[in-house]
Amino acid sequence: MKASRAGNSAAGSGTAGASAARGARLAALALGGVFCAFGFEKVRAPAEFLKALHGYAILPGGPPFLENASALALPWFELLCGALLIAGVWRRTAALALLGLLVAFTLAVLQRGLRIAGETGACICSVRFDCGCGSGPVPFCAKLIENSALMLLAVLAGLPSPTCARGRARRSARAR
Amino acid sequence: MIAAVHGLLRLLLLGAAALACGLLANALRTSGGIEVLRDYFGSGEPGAPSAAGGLRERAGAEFVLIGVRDALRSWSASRVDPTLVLFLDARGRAAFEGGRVPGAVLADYYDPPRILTEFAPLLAAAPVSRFVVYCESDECEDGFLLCRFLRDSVGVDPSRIRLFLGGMRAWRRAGGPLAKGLLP
Repeated sequence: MKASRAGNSAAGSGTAGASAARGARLAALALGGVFCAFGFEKVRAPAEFLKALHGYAILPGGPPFLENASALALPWFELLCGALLIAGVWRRTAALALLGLLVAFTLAVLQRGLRIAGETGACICSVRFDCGCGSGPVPFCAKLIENSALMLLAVLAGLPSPTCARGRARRSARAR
Repeated sequence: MIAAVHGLLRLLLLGAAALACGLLANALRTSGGIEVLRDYFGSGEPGAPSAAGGLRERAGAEFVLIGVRDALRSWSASRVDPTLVLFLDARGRAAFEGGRVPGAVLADYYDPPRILTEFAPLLAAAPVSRFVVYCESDECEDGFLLCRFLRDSVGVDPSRIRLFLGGMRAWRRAGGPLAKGLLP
């Protein structure tokens, strides 16, 4: 009886683990696709991205080459991370890297949107600007919602897969 | 701990690979690339104007700003005597081809090879007495940056430069004539 209960629970955790792994894989595919598209748009027009990046004043007073090099490297970084997520290679690293980027740029978008709303006296959700995200001018509130959804996807894609966790546990048990 | 170090190393590798790809792709571009060492925005002024008000103040302190009515008047004058006014379009090539002021010249501020090697000597020797620079709208900084480029790098007297701040948006709204394609 006990053995059968243990078997059931193992089977249950196996099913839950498999569905979690499937969810993480799907999230990685979706996030990878979105970032490949965004990265590709920016790679095509680096000057446009440089303008947008400058608009955020993330590197104020720094040497110009820092901003220029960031405008060249960031789109490729997104593209590479997107491709890794789709391929399922270095999935956690790529997802966490994109999560970091999303957090930083969402804060920058928030700051810029609030500044524009303050200067123009417009309603916060009626503010529209080109965030340099590769999707052209977008409404501020919609961008925040979109970024929140992408952050959620990045968290899901960055979850450790059950096979990795099992492997790690086995390795540490063997070491003991 | 080891996993965190691995993750960090992977991130560094990804960053280095992205920078290498970006620099290589930029070097292979024939147009529309970025000059890595160029100071596009003026190092003394961090941050870009986020709204029309900021840009208007900054540009107005350095150049004469004109509205759509003056721009239309200048354009009519340039039709009669082309040496009076030359319109310079500071937007990108695609926007220029899509619809511009008739007779305007493409002067994309972010296209260094064209602007530095072909355009600057032409402008320095241009017989026109006044340049009207425009961009997409009064939220667009590129017209202002082009005015600065004309003054600082080409050596055009700032009294000959007019910045049409409303740009193509105001021009279209006012029913100004439009031309399409690359040729004047």
